[in-house]
Amino acid sequence: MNTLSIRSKQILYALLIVGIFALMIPYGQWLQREKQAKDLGEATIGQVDAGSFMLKLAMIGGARGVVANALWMQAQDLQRRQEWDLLKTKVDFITKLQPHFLSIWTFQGWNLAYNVSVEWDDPADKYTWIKNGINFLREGVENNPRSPDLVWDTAWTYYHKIGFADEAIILRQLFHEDQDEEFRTDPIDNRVYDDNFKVSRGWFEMAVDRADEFSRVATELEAPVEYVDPVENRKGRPGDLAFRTMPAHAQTRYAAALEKRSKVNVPAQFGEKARSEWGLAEQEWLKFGEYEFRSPNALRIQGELVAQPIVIGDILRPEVITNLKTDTQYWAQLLSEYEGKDIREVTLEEAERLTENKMAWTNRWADQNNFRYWIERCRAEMEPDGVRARQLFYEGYLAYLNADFPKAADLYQEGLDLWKTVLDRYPTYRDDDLNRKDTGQTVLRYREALLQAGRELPEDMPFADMMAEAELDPTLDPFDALDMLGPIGEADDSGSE
Amino acid sequence: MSALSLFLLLAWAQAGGEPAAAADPAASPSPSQGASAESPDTSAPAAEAGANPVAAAAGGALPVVQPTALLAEELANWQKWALLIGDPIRTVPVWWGPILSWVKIVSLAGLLGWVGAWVMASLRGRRRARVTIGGARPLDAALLLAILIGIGCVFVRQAQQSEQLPQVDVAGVALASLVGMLCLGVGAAWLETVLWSGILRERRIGDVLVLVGMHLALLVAVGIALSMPSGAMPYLGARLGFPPDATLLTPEGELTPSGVVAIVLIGVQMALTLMGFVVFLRIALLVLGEVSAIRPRRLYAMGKFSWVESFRKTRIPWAVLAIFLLILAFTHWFLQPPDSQRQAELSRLYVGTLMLLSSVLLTVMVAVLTPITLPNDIRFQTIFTVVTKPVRRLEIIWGRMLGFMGVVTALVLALGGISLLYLERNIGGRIEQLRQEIAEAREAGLDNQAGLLEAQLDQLQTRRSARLPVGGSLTFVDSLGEPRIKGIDVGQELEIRSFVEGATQAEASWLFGPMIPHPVDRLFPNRPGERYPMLSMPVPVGLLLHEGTIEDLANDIYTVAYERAELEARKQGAEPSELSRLNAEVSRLEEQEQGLLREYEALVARYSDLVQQAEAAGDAPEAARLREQAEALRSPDVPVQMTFTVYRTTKGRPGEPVYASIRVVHPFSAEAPMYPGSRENSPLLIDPLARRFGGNNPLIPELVHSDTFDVKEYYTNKWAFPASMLVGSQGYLTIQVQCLSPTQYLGMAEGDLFLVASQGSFLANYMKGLAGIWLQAMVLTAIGVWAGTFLSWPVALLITVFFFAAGEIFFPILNQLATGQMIGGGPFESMIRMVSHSNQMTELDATLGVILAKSLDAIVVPIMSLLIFVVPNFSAMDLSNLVADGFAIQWATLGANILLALSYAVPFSIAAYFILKNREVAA
Repeated sequence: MNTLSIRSKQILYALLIVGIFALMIPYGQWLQREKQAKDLGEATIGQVDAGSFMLKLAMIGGARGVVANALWMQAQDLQRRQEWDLLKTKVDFITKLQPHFLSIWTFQGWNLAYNVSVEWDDPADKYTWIKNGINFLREGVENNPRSPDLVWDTAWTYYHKIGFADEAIILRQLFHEDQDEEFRTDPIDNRVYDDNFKVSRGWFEMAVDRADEFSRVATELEAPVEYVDPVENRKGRPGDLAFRTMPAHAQTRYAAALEKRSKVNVPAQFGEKARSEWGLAEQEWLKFGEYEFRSPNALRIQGELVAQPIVIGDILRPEVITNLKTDTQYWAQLLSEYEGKDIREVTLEEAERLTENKMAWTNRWADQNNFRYWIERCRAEMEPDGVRARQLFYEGYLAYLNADFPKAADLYQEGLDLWKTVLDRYPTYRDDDLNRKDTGQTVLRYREALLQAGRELPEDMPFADMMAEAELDPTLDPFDALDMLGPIGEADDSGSE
Repeated sequence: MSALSLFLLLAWAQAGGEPAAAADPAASPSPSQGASAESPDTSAPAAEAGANPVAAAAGGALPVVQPTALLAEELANWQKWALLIGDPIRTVPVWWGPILSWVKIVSLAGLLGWVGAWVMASLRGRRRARVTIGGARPLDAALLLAILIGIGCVFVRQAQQSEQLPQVDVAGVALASLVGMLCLGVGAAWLETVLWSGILRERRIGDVLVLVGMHLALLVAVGIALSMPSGAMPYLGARLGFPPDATLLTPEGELTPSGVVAIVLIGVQMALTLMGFVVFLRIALLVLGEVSAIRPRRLYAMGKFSWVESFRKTRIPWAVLAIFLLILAFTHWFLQPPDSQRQAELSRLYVGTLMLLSSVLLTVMVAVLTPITLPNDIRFQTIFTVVTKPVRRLEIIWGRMLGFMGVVTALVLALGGISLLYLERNIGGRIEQLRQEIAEAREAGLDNQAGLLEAQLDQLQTRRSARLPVGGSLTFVDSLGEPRIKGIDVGQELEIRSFVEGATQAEASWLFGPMIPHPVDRLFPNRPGERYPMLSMPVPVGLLLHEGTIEDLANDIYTVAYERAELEARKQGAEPSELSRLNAEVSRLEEQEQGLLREYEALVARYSDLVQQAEAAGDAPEAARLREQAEALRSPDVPVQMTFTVYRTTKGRPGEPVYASIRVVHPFSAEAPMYPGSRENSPLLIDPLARRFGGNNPLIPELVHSDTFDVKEYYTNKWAFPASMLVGSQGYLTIQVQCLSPTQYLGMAEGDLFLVASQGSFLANYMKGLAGIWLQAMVLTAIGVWAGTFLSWPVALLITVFFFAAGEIFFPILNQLATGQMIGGGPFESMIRMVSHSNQMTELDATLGVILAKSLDAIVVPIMSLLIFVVPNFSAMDLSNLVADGFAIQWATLGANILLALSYAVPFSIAAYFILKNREVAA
């Protein structure tokens, strides 16, 4: 063993070192190729973070999983001890260690926005924590831009936690006043909005885009991006209809919230602004209506099992579908192209079955999403008379709350007459439960105003049939400051003039 | 060691329950044990039954009766003392209690060390045996056999408890336990033989005396144990870890076999402690001799040697400094600054991180530096040049520690200075920035925004001070007006705060005072059993009433008046000669009182004069100056800070806060009695000047001061009351808080409301916080040097790191182990649970593996739980949270921590001394 001289040992070691390095070169190249092929690597998965990188280095890679687990347990303990700020710090630290650990972003983002915010009593504090949660999720999006789930969570928190909370009227006001422009920026059109519904619409749209992109990547790549916790994507799966309606819902909510006092200190808005927003809402619904879903069942046509595309918007033109009953040519071409099945021709009986199936699914899904209602509602509300009627209701309610009953009765009467002419053109909207309650309540207030003003009830009172139902359900609108707080600070309210 | 632990585990196996509640030195008797002891023939249930009606009358909640209180009726006074001194875990809540516990533990450790050392020495010097069995002496073979059979016995006991093996009893005691005791007997015999032969061979007279003393101690302990009245056994048994349903007494009051085991256990525990005292005496004498020979010059020389070595040879201190600076330069990479709305967290985040960083770096440095040098000296034989100089061994140890602590001190100062600069730049800068933002927001008319920012700034500044909080003792009144120890539990996972219901009679009441009974004794003054010790939570009147102000003067008048009232009380039944002296004294005091009153009136006149002048002055700055002068004559309002939580059962009007009312009640007022449960309302103190002023006391304008405020959850609500409320209070005061909003609840804990006695300097406080780190480093240095005296450096390093990790991270787990609160069993059972994914609560099936694991736990847990005696509680010395939260570190806390650190560092260094001494002798 000891026969080698020191010099020759040194040469031997040097050679060994060089040899190992030489071996590393092809390995490194292979790794690089693999990374590119599988769309891996820091730079492609997300933003490169120096602190995160240093921490990972300090934890020598593998041990950071253990550290992250321990930190997570500590975070939970801090939550039990109501140490909210320390919880946030701890959670931030975990994300530094494992920025591609999707669960921590999803879970803790939700935890901060929902569970922590609810522990604080002052709405301003609640807002701060919701914002913390949203910003946390947005940071997650920056680190994992390919995950549709995180984008959707961000959108949902903007939409639901701010817009549907018990204190929504105050939270939305705080959002309206927020100085942080980045927080109020729509990620799609990069404009700053003063309404959480409007911003959430952008995020929802982005989630839809990401989901499409994700499924493309998933099919094109051998394996999808390898996250630390390769959860199956929750959102944007092929049959997830509700997921795709969210941009439209957000825009509709925005338009509806404009026409009432949905923020404590911001008066309602009508006129051109309201009309155009309802117009945008209609466009969103039509866009949803154009999306091509795949039917969940398959029919046996020409010995092959085939699915077919379903477009919910077709329900607005049912004749387009019924015409297909006899169009065997159309079906043959569609099926051969749709899934690459070898189908040259389709019999008449088969075309009929296919058409019926298409009709059934289109109808079912349209009902499921209340598609006709939303389209008609947008169209009714965007009519000049519709907007005018809403404005009259709002002003009437203000007068009513201020005990100016003759004025209230006059405004209501004018509004209801207008509203009736509009709704007669949109029967689906008119007969929908939501509208029956909403309009019914207005009629009730009209009746009350008449009684208080000492007037007779008119014979032909519009929508008189809706009163009985509305009387049974006297709940107030929690998202209308006029309902919740009464006529506050109306002096500076231009809408009441 | 093995014999000791074997005994403990056998005791545990016999007791058949959780491991003996052996080890927590501070464990006070837990109330549940006494309450759950249900032996039919004892006086406990009777006493408790007696307690019930009283409790019901006093307000429903059953007061806890301390088992010690009941025990006291069974034992003679000398027996109580004997138990206190002899039982290693018994302690008393007075100042010398911890010291006694410390002496006991150090004694036991000394006993272990002494026996261990002599066994080693004796075995080394043994002559060849005449009779052997398979190459071993008969006694050694017997010991080996006894150990194996002993372990087997544990296994059998476990199997029997899991009902996998039939129970075999001989005379009422499990056979396996008897065999186990036999094995112990063999162990004891072996130990005796080895010790006697070894010590007699060496002819060391001191140690012979120790050995004799130990046997005497054993006899004394047996005597005391036998004298214990059998009626006391159930409580003593509960302390030993016997399950509550174990019958230690027959219905006739005779001891059952389990009772006999309990008596033996008490005897053994006591014997071990007393033997420990004998060894402690011997060690103390030896150490005192050595200490008296220490010369500062030589200590300094040794210390300087370590200092130079640290800086020149290892250069670790420089590395620590460099790493610290490097990390500081890049903190923004790791630390997420809090959201713009949570600025108050900035200070906590940075202070906490900097302290943690300093602490980690220093402890790593100490853990690496201290155990390396001594083994290296020994290895390279440089130690010989040191020990051949006229320098004592203790000087080598302490000198080294001194040197290392010099390095640590220099580094603490350096790191502290850098940290403070960093904090000043970051937080100070942020405060400036916030001020600017507030001004901008105000200009832009964004009042909401400005208000939010101001709240943040206020919280940030609060955190960046050193408040001296003065807390009171909290009791509750429920919604029906009945006194309660606790409020309502709203179902939070940890019941940190208890709640009072809004718009009812429910209230929380904080009582301050130099001598106030424990809350239980206040609410249930007539309950049976011993009283809890009195609490001392006085309002620091001297700090809050400024010298020379109107209120201070009024308080002085009361001081005189109290003195006079006391003298007048003494007049009753006094001797005639005494009477005249008292009379003279009283009239002197009266004169003094009159003088002070005149002075007081003059001051008040001057005050109202100034106020009038200020009102008359047309010039605004002039008026402000006059008003300022007037205010200087009054003590500032007394600041109160509160952090409450809100629990809503209804949504309420959106955006509307929950309102609370607060009332400060002077002790002269009858509205806040000391005993809320009693029907007659008498004031805490009798006004000595009541006769003079009648109902209209100008010194104390109001006896009750109340106000309402809206609760901002999790924020520090600030409020203040007039300083005149403290005049004549002698430190007594009551503060009551009620929730005003109907259907809402207000949550509070005792620490949630406090008076701010002073706002100290953050800088000084930060340095005091660093002193905590310094103390940690000192303990670790002692451990490092100790480990270095007998281990090679890699092992010594690991041992030091182990001690640090065990003390800093695993101390709570050790505590659970030692107090028998480990849910899901010891380490081996837990391992099975982890692997088989079973939860902590389910009973595991009694498979062979589970029985084996439980048996191993039964052997390992008692040994591991002994660790709690030697592993330093590092986190207790860490005061960084106080600094980060903006609370002043009080000198008393720091002093207690210094004692705590010394109580670990000194025994370790002494142990190191003995090891080094014997090692060189042996080499």
